[in-house]
Amino acid sequence: MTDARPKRARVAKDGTAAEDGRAPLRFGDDPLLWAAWLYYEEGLTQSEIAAAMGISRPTVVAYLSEARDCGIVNISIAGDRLRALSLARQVAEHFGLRDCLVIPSDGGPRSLIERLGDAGAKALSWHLRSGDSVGIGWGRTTLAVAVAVPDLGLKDLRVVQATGGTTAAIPYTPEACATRLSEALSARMIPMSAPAIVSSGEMRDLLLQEPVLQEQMSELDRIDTIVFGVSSLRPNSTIHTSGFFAKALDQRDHYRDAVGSLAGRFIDVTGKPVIGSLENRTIGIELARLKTVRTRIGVSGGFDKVPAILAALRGGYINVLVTDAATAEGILRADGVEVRRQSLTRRPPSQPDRGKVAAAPGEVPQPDVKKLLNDPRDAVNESLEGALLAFPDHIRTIDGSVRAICRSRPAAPGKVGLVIGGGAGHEPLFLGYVGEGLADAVAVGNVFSAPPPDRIVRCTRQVSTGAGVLHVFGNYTGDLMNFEMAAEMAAAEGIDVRAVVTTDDVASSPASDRAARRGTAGNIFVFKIAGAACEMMLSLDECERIARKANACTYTMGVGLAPCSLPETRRPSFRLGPDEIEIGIGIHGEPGVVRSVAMSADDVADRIMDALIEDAGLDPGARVGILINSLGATPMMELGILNRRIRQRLEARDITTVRSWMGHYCTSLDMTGASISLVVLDEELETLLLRPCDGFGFRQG
Amino acid sequence: MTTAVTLDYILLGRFLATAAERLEEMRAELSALDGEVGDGDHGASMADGFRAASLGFAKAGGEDVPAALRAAGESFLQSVGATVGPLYATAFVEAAKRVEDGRIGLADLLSAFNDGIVRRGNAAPGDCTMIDVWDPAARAARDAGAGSIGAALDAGRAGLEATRTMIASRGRAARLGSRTLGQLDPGASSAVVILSALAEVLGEPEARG
Repeated sequence: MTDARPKRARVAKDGTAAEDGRAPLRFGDDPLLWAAWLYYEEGLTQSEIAAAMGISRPTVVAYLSEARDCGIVNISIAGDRLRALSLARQVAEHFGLRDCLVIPSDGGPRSLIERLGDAGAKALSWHLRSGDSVGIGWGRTTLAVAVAVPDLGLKDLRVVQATGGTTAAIPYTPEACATRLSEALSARMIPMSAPAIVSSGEMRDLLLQEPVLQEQMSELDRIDTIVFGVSSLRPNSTIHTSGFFAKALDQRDHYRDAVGSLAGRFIDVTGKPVIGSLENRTIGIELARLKTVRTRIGVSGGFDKVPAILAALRGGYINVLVTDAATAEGILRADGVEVRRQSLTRRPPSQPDRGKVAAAPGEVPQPDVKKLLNDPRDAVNESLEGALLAFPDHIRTIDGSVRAICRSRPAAPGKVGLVIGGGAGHEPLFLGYVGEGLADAVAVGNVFSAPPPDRIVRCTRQVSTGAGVLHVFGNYTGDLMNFEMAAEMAAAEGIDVRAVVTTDDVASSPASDRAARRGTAGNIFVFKIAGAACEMMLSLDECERIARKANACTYTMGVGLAPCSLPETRRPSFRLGPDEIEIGIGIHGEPGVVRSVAMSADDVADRIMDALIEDAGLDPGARVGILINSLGATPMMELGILNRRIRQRLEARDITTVRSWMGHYCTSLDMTGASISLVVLDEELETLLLRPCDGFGFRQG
Repeated sequence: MTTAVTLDYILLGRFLATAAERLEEMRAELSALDGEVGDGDHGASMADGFRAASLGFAKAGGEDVPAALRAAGESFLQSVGATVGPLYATAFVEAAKRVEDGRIGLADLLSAFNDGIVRRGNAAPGDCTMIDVWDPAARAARDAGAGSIGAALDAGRAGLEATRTMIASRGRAARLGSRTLGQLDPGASSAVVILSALAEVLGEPEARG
């Protein structure tokens, strides 16, 4: 412990206290606090403290240890660094690496590739000696390494371009990477005077007979160190977008088993080379040769690269790995390793049992979650029967099936029909939003499961009065497929169907990929506004346009405090630690995007509002509608606490809240948590949002 | 290919019934797996779906095997919807096209399942879906000539294991990013259950066609 404590040059002693052993007033009569203060803050030695307090040294030791146990003293080391360190050690141990460097995944304004470049340069400088010959691959990250390498003052270095070149219009070609590195190291550069991929095997064999190229290739046999990136073969990865392999990379054919690429070659999930049509047309270092290089520094990060990096590690192509924490953790988990996690908060030792429960999930049999059910498989039907009986003025069945429901009072002829639908378990979504000024019919699936097409078609037929039908539903694979099949079937019957998919959940995908977001509580705004447009007898084109606009202006983010449980399993559908919350949780218990320690209502509201305000680009003067929604088990009382802070934030930004709704609108069974939705209003949307409507889940006069 | 394994109406019926039974046994386990990465409905959807498919197939009778397979798909789809409904419904429709003289070769059946599911879901190998089982299984059955269910099952199991190393890019799990690492994909898991049921049916000596 002695070396962990801070060394202070200035030692301040409390003379009076030292003489009679009584604690100075500011410590009351707490000797633990006093001893801890003298040791950690004043920097006294244990003997000095013993003298000052008039007690023996062993007593001081006992005090100090007790002070830590009872939480008076918390020793903390910057969490990120420690985590990166221990991850690096674990990766190195597990894969038998010489070295591993793990940087934090989030690190301020600089991009991950730039920061990986810095780290890669550091790793290179640790391993490089005067007289070494360094091979270098190509790619974004590799170039970032070359850019970040400082002049190390080493002598007689050579930099060898490890693959042929390319004319592809990218800044990170093999030539560029090698040139940059040789300049940085003041090294002699050995280029490779041939394309990486040539037109045929014969051409390659011919080229390799050229003395110049032969000499350059023989330099590859001398390299002591090589730096390269690892490319994923997933769609959109550099390998496809770089144009490096032009059309030659026919993944569906020879390369379908390949999961990664390094130095222009391909490997499968076990790291074995994948031999395809490019193999005998490639000029550059061969994988078998690469594996014999003394120091093989792989620099690669971003969790989409996990399968590729894992394959490269399994194949033994890397013995010094430079990556980021999220990727390192992903690699370990993907290889079946339990990742050792440091807790960022030290649990008070007075509650040792809490840790134990969390440590052995699944082993401790937990009682079923209590629910009011009969046969769980009848839950959805029985619940719908009950709702139909409770709200006869609003909803009734279509041809007797409780899973296809329409509004009790039919709409005026010539009105565009609005059909909504999705899985059960979100009540009052969806059937609560059927009625005047809202949807005309709803197709209900099983719990968290899309309804089948025939049900959707029956709803569509029911509400079709010749003006066309609008389908509005959340962006989930199952809903997309079933609604799409239903739309095809309805079109075959001559009904003009348009589909608008809701994508309001900010946490589920970045703004740049809005179309990939899932649809959550913001559905209510889209249903309401689309319903009003239909009720105003606007055309199908108009209704579709307005529904799309409403969706584009709607933003939601949720927080989960405790998981929901399905009627059939009656088990928590995911696990959350006793003091964890999940920000960005989905409405099916899909884990969110950030797991954090529990925080106050205001902190949660701030966190969500920051994200929503930024995502929506909310400027002063904007007008919004807001929805504070319980995910099931969170009571109205807590929604009020959230809303108080939300309104403070909106007011502080000079944003007008036109109207707000608070309560159970889009739940996730019995999940504890809440979501906040914003709809940014222009005149058109505001008028439509405020029009009267009458569904049992949403009424306004 | 004279010794090629083929399935007739009786064997197909036994396959669907066995698959339904095994999926029912795995119902809770599959749902729990799905709870980790999706919404926890997978076990119920698959068990109910295959039960409906099996009943639909039996009800259609053996006169017209392609029609019976289409009925199986339709029953699956209309009973559960969900994500797997359209996928397996299309698989059955595709299988119906490959029946000749009331029989379908094992390799054809597996290819049809793979092709149908790919056509509807647009997933590719490596997306961390059921295709990571169906694709290698179908390829193995084809490569093994004679249509070996053993080879297909082995390839399917290896594919399932490989989903641990994949990052989901389809379905709800796609939103999880790296959190799917180390997890078996539920759709791939149920595909292996179905393959095992097929192996179980074909493994019975008296059941060999």
